[in-house]
Parts: sequence; C-alpha cells; structure tokens
Amino acid sequence: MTGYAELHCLSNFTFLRGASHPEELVSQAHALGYCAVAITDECSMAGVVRAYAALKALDLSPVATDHAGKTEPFKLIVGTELNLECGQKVVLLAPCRTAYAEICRVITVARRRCEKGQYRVARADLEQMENALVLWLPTLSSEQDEPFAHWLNDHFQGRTWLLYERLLDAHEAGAGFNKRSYLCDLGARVQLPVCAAGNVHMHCPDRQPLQDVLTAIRLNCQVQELGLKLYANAEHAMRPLHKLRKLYPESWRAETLKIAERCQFDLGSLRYEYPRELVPEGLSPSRYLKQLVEQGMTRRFPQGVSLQIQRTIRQELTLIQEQGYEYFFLTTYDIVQFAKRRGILYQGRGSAANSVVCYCLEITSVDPRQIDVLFERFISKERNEPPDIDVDFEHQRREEVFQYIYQKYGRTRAALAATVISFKFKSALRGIGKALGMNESRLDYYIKNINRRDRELGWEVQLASLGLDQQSPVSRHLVRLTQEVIGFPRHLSQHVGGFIISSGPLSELVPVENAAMAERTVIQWDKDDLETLGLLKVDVLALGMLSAIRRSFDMIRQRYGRVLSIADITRLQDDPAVYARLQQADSIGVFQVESRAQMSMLPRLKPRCYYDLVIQIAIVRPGPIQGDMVHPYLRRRSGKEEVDYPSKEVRAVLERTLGVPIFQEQVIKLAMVAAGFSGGEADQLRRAMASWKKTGQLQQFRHKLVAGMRERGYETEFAERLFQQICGFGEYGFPESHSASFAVLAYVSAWLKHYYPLAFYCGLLNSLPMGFYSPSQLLQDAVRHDVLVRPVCVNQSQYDHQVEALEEGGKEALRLGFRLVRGLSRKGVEQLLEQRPDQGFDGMAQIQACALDKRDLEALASANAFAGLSGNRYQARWDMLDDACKVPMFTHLAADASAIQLPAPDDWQNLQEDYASTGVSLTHHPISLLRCAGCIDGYTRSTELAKLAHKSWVKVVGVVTGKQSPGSAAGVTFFTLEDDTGNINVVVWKATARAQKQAYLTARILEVVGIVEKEGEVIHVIAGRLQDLSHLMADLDTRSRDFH
Amino acid sequence: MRWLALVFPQLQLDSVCPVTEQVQNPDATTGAVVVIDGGQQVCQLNAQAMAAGIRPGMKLGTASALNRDVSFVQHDPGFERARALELAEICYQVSANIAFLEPDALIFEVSGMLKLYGCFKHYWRDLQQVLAAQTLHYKAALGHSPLAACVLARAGFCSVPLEQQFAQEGWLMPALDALQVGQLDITPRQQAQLERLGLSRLGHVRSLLQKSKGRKELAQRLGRELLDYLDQVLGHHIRPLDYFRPEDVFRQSILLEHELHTSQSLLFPVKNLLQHMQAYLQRRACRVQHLRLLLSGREGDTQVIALSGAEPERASEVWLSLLQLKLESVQLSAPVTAVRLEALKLLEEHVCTQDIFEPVRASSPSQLLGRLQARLGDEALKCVHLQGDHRPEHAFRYSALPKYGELKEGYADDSHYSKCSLSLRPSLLFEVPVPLSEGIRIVHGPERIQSGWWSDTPVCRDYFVARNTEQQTLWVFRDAQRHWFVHGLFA
Repeated sequence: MTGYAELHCLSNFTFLRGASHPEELVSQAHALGYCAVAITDECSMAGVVRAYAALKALDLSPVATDHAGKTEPFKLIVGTELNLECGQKVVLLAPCRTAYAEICRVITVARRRCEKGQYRVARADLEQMENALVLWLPTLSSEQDEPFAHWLNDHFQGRTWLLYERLLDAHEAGAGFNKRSYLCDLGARVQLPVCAAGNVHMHCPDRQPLQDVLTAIRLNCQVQELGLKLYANAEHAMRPLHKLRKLYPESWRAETLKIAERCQFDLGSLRYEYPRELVPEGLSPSRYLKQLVEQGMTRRFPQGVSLQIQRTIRQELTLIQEQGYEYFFLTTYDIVQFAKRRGILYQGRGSAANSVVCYCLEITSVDPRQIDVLFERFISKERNEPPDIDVDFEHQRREEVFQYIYQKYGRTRAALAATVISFKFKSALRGIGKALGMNESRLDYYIKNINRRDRELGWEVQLASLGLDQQSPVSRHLVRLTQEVIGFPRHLSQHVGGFIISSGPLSELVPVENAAMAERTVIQWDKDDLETLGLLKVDVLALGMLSAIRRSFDMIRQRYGRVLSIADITRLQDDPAVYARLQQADSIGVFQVESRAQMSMLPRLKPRCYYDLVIQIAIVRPGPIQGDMVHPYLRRRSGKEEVDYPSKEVRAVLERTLGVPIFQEQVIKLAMVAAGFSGGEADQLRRAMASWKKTGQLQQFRHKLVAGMRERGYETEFAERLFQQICGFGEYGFPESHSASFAVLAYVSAWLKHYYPLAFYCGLLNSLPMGFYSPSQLLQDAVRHDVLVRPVCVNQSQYDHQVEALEEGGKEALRLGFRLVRGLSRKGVEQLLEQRPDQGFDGMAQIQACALDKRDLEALASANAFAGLSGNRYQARWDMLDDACKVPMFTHLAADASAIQLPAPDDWQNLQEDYASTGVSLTHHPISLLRCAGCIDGYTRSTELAKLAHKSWVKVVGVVTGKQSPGSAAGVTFFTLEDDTGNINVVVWKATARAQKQAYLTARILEVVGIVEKEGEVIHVIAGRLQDLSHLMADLDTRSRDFH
Repeated sequence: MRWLALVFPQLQLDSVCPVTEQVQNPDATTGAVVVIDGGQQVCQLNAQAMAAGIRPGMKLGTASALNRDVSFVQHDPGFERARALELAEICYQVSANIAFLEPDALIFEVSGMLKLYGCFKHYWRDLQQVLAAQTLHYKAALGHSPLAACVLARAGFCSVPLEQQFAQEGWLMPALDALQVGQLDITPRQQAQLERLGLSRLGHVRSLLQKSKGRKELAQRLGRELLDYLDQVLGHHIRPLDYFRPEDVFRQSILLEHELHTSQSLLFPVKNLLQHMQAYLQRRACRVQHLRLLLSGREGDTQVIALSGAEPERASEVWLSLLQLKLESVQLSAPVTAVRLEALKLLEEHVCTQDIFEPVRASSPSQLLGRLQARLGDEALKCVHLQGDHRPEHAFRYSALPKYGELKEGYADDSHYSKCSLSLRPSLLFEVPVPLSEGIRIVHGPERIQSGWWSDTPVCRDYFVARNTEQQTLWVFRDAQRHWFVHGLFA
C-alpha cells in the first residue's frame, strides 16, 4: 500500500478553469492522505504562494508513506502546465531552486511575447532547461507522439515521465483503441516510465457545476450550449486513495512518490539580491547609509542635533543593519533624490517613513520633534515585518518616476507587483446568471436593487424579495454558485505602484508578464504574496494634493519671490491663525479635511495643534464611527467625561487619544500589552483586521483576547468592549503613521489657503481632477474668500489658470484658463497662443485668420471668451461656424461679416451657456435667477442659517451638488444643497426618503422644509418635506456627485 | 391642410397591456410596466408607472427604486415596425395613400380621399372607428407637409381640434413656431448647435431663414441636410413619399353548382382554380410554396386544407397531384358549397437555365420528399443531427425537414463531433433504459457520465460494455442508486 502524490493540479489561478482555491487543494490533498501535491497552473506561478501560505498556516501533520509507519512532512511542489505550439502538453516541476528559476524564465518568455492573458511556447524554449522535471501528456496519435518522445529523450534524459490520467471518460477507450495499453506500449518503445496523475481542476467533485459554469464564462456562452466542451464527469477532482488504488496500477502510483522525493525546493527559501549599483565602489551598504544620514543630519538640523535624536538615529541604524534592510532605504532614497532633482514633489508615509533616518534621508518631512509623540514602531524586530514606506508623488508626474525606474534598472530587473482582480458580488451574480441563461436585464435589476451594506439581510435573502423564485432549480444554482465563486480570481492587473527591483533578472524569482498598459510589466504575485515570502517592494504612489501644493509653491516663487518647501512650513510650527480657520470648518480644498463629514467634525473637535490634526484625519472614518469611538473621544476632550485607564500599560497606549482607541497601532499594542499577544499573533490580528470583510476571521481572536485580558486582571466588560471596537474597526482602522504624514499635507494646504489664497486656488484648480469638489464649488469658495475671479478670455488667458495683476493698484485676480472650456482641444490652445499677438487680438477677423479647428472656435465662443471682441456669444458662435474663410483664396470674401445678427442671450441663457461650456458661472447662480424670476420665495439662505435657533422650522432651496449614503450611517443620506451664498447640509432619514422617493432620487433642485439642528457651529437641516423644483430649470447642467 | 399624421408612441407597450385595463384603475400601484431600450433607459411607460413617478429617460435602476414591482420589457423595434405596417394595412380599408415614417408614424394624404368621403369629418370618423378596435394610444395632427404634421403630432399638439385644423390655416405657423428644437427629428448634435446659438424654438429658426442670406448662411454653417429638413417641416418643399402597398396575394373563390360530398369530387373544380392561379403567377413571374383551400359549407363553417410543396411551384398539375394525395386522407366535415383558393405569399422566380442535353430526371429528391410529406404528413418526416452533449439521450436530436435548397449542404457544425467516433457507442440506443435482469460479464468500463445538472434530466451513471449469456454485447449502466439498466445494443 503506497501513498500517492498528485502531480498535475490546477488551482483557480488558471483563470476560469480551476474551480478551487490553492488553499483548498493543499488542505484536501492532505486530508485525503496524499504525500505531496504539485500546484501546476497553466503558464503561471500566481497561485503557489497562497498554497505555501496555507501550508504554513495549517501546520499539517506528517503523512504516512508506507506500512512501517514511517512519516514525512506533507510537501508542496511547484510547477506549471504548458500547451506547446506543436500541440503537445507538458507539466514542468521544480525539484530545486535552479529548476524553479528555469521554469520562471520559460513562463516569462512565453508570456512576454504575447499580449496580456496569452502565451506561446515552442520546443526550442524548453531546450535550455537543465534541471526541471517533465511530465508529458501525449496526444495519443503515434505520428505526433513518437518524434516528440525522441526529442524529450534527447533533452531531458532521466527526468521525463509519461502521464497516465484515468478520468473515466470517452477518451479512455474507443473503437480499437485503449489509452492504457497505448501508453504502456509507448513507454516501452521509447524507454520512458509511466506515472499516474489526476488532471485535477477541483478539490472535490461537488465543484463540478462551478467548473462547468466557469467554462461557460470563459467561452462566453451558456452552460447548456457547451455540449462536449464540458468535462463528461466530476473525475477531475482529488480522489481518495482507495479509489486511486482501483484506478491505477501500483507501480504507476509508486512512480509519483519517486518524483515527489526528488522535489526538495521550498518556496520559503526565496530571497533576492538588491541592485548593487546603488552603493558606490568601496563602501558597504551600511556605511553608505550611515554616510547619507550624517549628511542629511546637518541639512535637517542646522542648529545642531540633540542627544536624544542622536541616540534614536543610532538605534534605528542598528536595527536596519540587523534586519538587513539597508538596500530598501537606499532604493527609496535614490528614487526620491531623482524626484527632488526634477522638482517633483513627494512625501513618504508609513511607520518606517516616520523614522529619523528617513527624515534625514529626506524621504519625509515630518519633523522628529513632532514624531516624538508617535509610536516607535518603525521596524518591529520581533514581528519580522518588512518596513512600511509608501512614497506619494505628484499625480500628474508620477509617470516620470516610473520611467526613471524602468530606465535605470531595465525592464528585466524592475517590475510592478500584481493585483488580483477577483469576482465580487456584482460580477459574480452577473457572470453566473448569464452562464445559466438568465435574462441580463433581470440580473441588472437584481444588482441595482440589492443593498450590499444592509447588515441584517444578506443578499441571498434580498434576492428572494426581489422576485427571484426560490423554488426553481435555476435560482438555487444561481445562489449557490454565486456564493462559491465570490473571491475567485479572474485575472491579474497591475498594482497601483508597488515595484520590485532586483540585482539579477526578476524572471528567475517569479515570472513576469505583460500588463494591459503598453510598456508595463507585472510579476505574477501580489502584495500579500510578497509579504508572505518576506520580499520587499517599494511603493510609488500618486497624490493629487502634492501636484497642487507644488504648483502653488511655484506660483508663490514666481510672483512673490518667496521660496517655500513643505519642510519650511512645518518648521514654522503650529500657527493659531491657520487652526482658527480650520476650527470654523473653513476647509474646502484643504487636504483630507474638506469632506462634508470632516467639516462637521472640525468645529466639534477644534484642532489646535499638529497632533490634533492627526487625530482629526483618522477619526472621521468608518472604523472609529462604527466602533463607536467618536463620541466618547469628543466628550472626553470637552471635559464632559472623565478619562480613566484600567492599568498603567493601557494608559501608555491610550493616553494620547484620551483613552479611546482610534488608530490601528493602538489596537495592536493593546492586544500585546493587555492580552499578552506575542508579536507574531499581533501581526496575525492586524492581517485579520485588514482583510476582515474577505475572510471573516476575526472571531477566532475573540476568545484569546478576552481570556488574555481577564488573566491580566482586566474586567470582562472592558475586554468585550475592546473586541467590539476591533470588529467595528475592521478594515477601516487608520494607521497613525499614515495619518501623521497626511496631517503634514493638511496643515500645509491650510496654511497656503490662509496666507496665499490666490496661489492656492490656482494650484488646486490646475491639478484637477482630484479632491472632493468641482471647479464650480472651488471657485464659489474662492469668491466667498474675497478672491477676484476673471473669466476665460481669448486675449488674457493661458491654458492653465493664472494669477493676474490688475491695473488698479497692486491687486490681483485669478484668471481662469482655457483648460476649463469643454470641447476645446489642447492643440487648439497651443495654436491660439502661438498666433496671439502680444497686445492681443483686436477683432474677430484676426482670430478667424488663425485657421483653428471649427470646434475649438465654437467652444471658445460659447464660453464667452470673445466677450471683449464681440458683444454677444451667440453671435460669436454664429460667426465662428462659418469656415468659408479657411481657404486662403477666399479670405478676401469673408471680409464682410455675416449679415445675420442674432439676439443676445438673456440671464437664463447666459447661465446655461456658462454651465454647458465651462461648468462654472461667475455672474449668476441658478437660485438667484430663480429668485429674481419670482419662482421661489420665503426660504432661508445658507449664510442666514446661523441666525436661526436650534430646532426651529426652516425652508431651504438649493442645487443638489452632493449625495452621500455612507455605510456607517444606517440608511441616512446626506444631501449638500448649494445656493448662491454657500452650502447647506441636509440630513434625510430613510423613512423620509422612502415616503418621497421621486424627489429624493431625481431632484436636481430641491426645496426642503425641515428643522434646524445646531451643535455649536455645526448646522444641519433635518429634512421633513422634499419637493423637486427641477422642472424650473430643465436645462441646467449641474452634475451631482454621488458617493454611495 | 393636406396631410394627417398619426403617431403611436407606445406600440410595444400597448400590445403588452391593452388600453382598457389601464383606463379602469389608473391609481393602482401594481401593474406598472415600462419598456426599456438598449441603454437601460425607460422609453415607454404606462399610467401606473407614471403615477409612481417614473419618467422617460430614467434608468432602470431609478425606475425600480421608485416602484419595486415595476415589470420591464425589452424594446423591440422590429416588432413595432411590423405592427405599424399591420396598422397601415388595416387603415388601408379607409384610406389610400398611407406612408410609414420611421419609427412610429403613419402619414395620410387627406385631400385625395375627400372626394370619396365628402368631408373631413366623415373621413376622420371612419378612421377613428377602425383604430378604436385596435386599443392603441395615438396622437393626431394635420399639417401642410407630411413632416409638419408628424412633428406636431409627436409634440402632442392638441389645442386646436382636428376638424378646425383641417378647415383653417392660421393656427399652423404659430403652432410650428412654438415647437422646441428638441421636438424636431434632428440629431442631438444639430439640436445642440441650434440651442447654443440661442435658436431654441422653430420660430427663431424660421425668422432667421427669412432674413436675406439666412438660408445660405444656415446651410453653410449647419449643413444642407438640416436646411433640407427644415424646409420640409416648414412646407417650403415636400419630398414625395413612399406609399404603402399591400402585399400581392392570390385569392379566388368559386361557388359550386351543387354540394359536393366526397373529397375526390373536389378535384375538378379546384383544377380550374389552379389553372387561373397558374396564369396569374405566370403574369407576375412568381411561384408559390403554400396554398390554402377554404371549403365552406352550407352553414357557413369552413374547413381549411393546407398544401405545401417542397419547392415553389406554379404548375397546376403539380399542385393537383399534391392535392390528390392530400385528399386521400382528408375527410370532409360537411358538404361543400364554396371553395376558395388562397396563395398568400408570392415568391419571385429563380431563373434557372437548363441545359437541353441534360437528362431530365423523373423527380428530384426534394420532389420525392414533397410527395412523402403530402402523403404522410409533415410530422412524419424528420432529420437527425448530432448534438454536443455527454448524456447519451441528448447526444442527437430530430428536427423538421429543412426547406428546399438546404438539403444539399452538409452539417458543418457536426464535424467537431467527429471525436465521438473514437468513443464506444452502441448501434442501437433504447429510448428508455430497461432494467437489467440477466447475468452479464463486463468487458470494458467504467465510463462515468455525470452531466446535465442544470436541466431537468441530470445524469449520473457509470456505463459498461458487457456481454450476456447469449453473447450479445450490451451497453449497460449503473446509476447513482446502484441499479443496473441496459441502454443499448452493439452490432
């Protein structure tokens, strides 16, 4: 009685073919008593790390290999299945590290020569492999098989096998043909041993329907139409040993064990070398790092370095050296230096980024005097965590950084990590439904109407209430298969910005394939896989606010001669004037604190210093809101509640946030000091929190947490409450280290808004799209801050928005740029600017002579850019439409202007044209026009709300510019209504919404009658009656942003 | 006014829920039905949907959020077009000169009909009667050009009653002037162009056109097509319409001198009809493939005999022989007093050149099939096709005989089922598997077939090739309950 090793097995990382997760395959193979399992996805290594992680996590018991009770640990073998161009099919296995590198190289070559999702491999590609094992599935026709067998023997002598896979289907035997005897004969003739295998596509036969449906999705048809393209039975699953004994002869099963024996490669042994060119000749990485830090110290601390900071630096450098992370910091340093040379603004964030070493290396601008209050965590030795540094760059210039990395290291040594795009509820329901032949409109209907955030009712129950007949078999299949397929990978996509850079070719570590974008390559592993194996990546991310800040800095330097950097501003320490504005919620355009929810929090929390901002940013998130941390914190801050700590340890962790856990680090730290979690366990807790929604694994920590805390003398109630807070946190708990970096940018943008408003709004507008607000809303805010705004003008504007000096004494205005005009091409602007005379155009004829594209001219006319030259934009547009004068021969004919005179637009029409052409109107607001026309009256304007008493009745009218239904808010929708004086926050409860559905769902101009709710300076209107006034302005182009 | 336009805005919806139900309870919240187009937007809706706040142009999601129970139907322009043509045919009883304007309008040329009806009032009354039987929503308007009438009808112009519209003229220009450019049948881009010049109503455009050089400049800037369209709407120019033409059919009836009691005796009178039909077809160079014979009895009851040829034919002998065969199996339900022959679909002749040296075959395979079908009935003749399915019962299917001309082609889609030729399958498959009741010796197997879980007939069986005591080779299987059956025999 021999054991068995399954050597040909596909996971769901062979997209839309495999029907089981790698973890399921590993665990099932072990449960069935197999000695080993090989994960051999088609031309891919994407699933092997998950299998490896499962192997480690499940801690599997050793497996018996023979009668005598000898046991061996269960083994995971890695390999790949390849369909060659000549029609033959082989499975390659990696017995050792070198073979693994060979296989990765072959996969890379096969994938890189084709577009994303395809591969092509020929015999010649395999000839270089000296170590890999080859398992061959012959085509069963001798003319093709014999020559191939000879080729195999020539190149893979002693490491080739014939695979016999008995799947009880029609191919097993036919008229005058028997597969088994064919293979026996072939093996004897060409001297190749035969080995048994299963062509496993799923871990158990129950998955057959799912495998069929995946095939239907892959072939884009219905499952009933597939016919013979489906497998005939469920034998492509892992089968129990007793059954295998009946199916295969002993010698062929024993052969699998012999092969497994030869495979000793362990994924955990993978390491990679960093690019050596980062370190100058003659220096070691440590020395070089130390040198750079010392240089940085003198720059960053011109007044000298305190003893405390020196000590911290020493500690940090020692830790870096011990863990061997020098290269990681050096790589990051090199990248930010490039950005600095090019004038690209950047900001590092993350726990490691907030170290003093990083401050000296200029990776961050968070002053260590501010860091002092933060946790030391930067690298946690006992948790063996890789350092965590994300670097944000200006979003409009991040591509330059990417290109630098590719150029410096070459496409073979640098690649992006992948992201696994998997089936979520919507795509799963749609895909499965289509494959089952259900009507697509009906599926859309279900999807639209299922509320994913409804906690009480799962989607299965909601489906029933939407009319899905639960008794019908199709519906039962739909529900079951959708449940199974959620979480299945569909394809790989490129990660946002995580790079791996190595000294040798990456393709020896992991296969590299083409991404969908041109000139981009990705590795087949995602960030979790990299973390499992302890491999480091450098995150190169994009942030819109950095672009805005840099533009503002440039403008300030140009106009006022003042040179500023982020560090310069933070060095000025906390400015009460800036904080005063924030406390009044004057934060439109300010990074991270400009949203409606943040603006409601600012007057309550009243940040006074940097750390308050750090808390402000982290507290207005679903995590703390759902975990019910917000109100206790505010109460304690205002002195309404006493702060007490159950122990000294807890005090040390929670004192900075008044006893309320707000940051992810606090929760982890509490688990360690109060419940006795070890470093590793705390790390597991952190991961479980991060992926709670996907895996639901938090419950298993509950017992350990509560028991551990009780053991250390804490009250059960305290422990239970903490656990509830952790669950509420879920994946939304914000790390303090990130919040600290964001707070820097928040402060800088608030500072700029206060001291240099023109430059600030200008920089912001030129960096759109980004942030929370549209150009229209930003400009209205600017006007309310007494900024003069000048419209787009053919003679004055540039492509970007500019700060312009006005003729009358020293004043300045914001001149809107051509980029705001819809339908105007960039090229058209360039042509216009090229041909614009210094003193400007003096007539329409001159402009027409520029021979710009007709559409560009129309766009400019409608934006009223010709206002200086032609009184009436309708007339200007009419004139621009005539392209008779384009032909040079006829220019003299066009000299007589059009005989037609069109009447000028009235206020309404001007407003409509403003919105249609630029989305912005400087002269009118719909609400003021409606009021002047007498269509609305008796309402309160936004600026007058503050005069009303709490709980008084009010009527407000506004354009609906925002609708938010945050999941944490129990069916409440927040409307933002904009009138001509500002924004009004309206709260619509679920019942109100349900009773007045039409107005709630479709109104673009809304009248609300309700009750004022005032809490300090925060004002809301609780909606009672909603009335849709959109019919009054049928053609207005305001776009409401829906955040759902 | 010369032209009448009828616009049917809800052709599809009206066939889903007839008008009378809607009128009965307009307040009910159930029964809301909408038609959605390809972009998942509502294009037609009934009164209940309107009451729930649903409006045209809304997305399906919004509509269903407003009313959970709304039923939706996918828009089918093909169906609407066919229905509109049907309506044209029906209206043809009342009015000649009907034209169909895509996608939902019928234009009637009124002045021609007045001679027949005397006055517009009577004409309109008759037309309304015919339409009322159809239970449809429609809007009507008159105009001095077809497009003017159509545009006014679509916009729902009704402030002047129809008869007054016909009699007077002064109301037309103001009505047209008041139309918004969005109500004209122009592209969205043209509409946007006009609106962004401040020309938001047809009246604005008309006054522009009246200015000197207005027409030229408009054409120059916005295109000749637009000018052309505007001219047609404003009546400056009327393009001739394609009038509806009812289809050609052959219908002829004869009354019999005395009642006939036997089917065979019908042959002589029908022979005459067939000869007339042959002449008619010859004149038009057409053939027919399907005929109907309607036999009326004394009491007015009618018996219908349908005849189909395998090929389109016009020769009366051919039809006669087919009829003869058919009549052998037909019983007359009552004595026949009148016979009517109908050939509803005329097919144009295929020109076939015949080589005079080619031996003339007595009858082609398709003719043989035609005769067999006539003798045995259509249902008795079938083709067999291979199907892709693992389940043996579903691996093939029967289908009706293909039409003439298709027999010759091979079944290309069967070629990739040739892999079936490798597998072991019996020559004879029992329709229903028979429980195994004798001893057998297994020769080969198992072959496991587990499929069809998505259907009513899933299969989960292990098949074996076995030999019984009489040395017959059987195809047996064991099902999930471990019962044994015989499913077929090998030759």
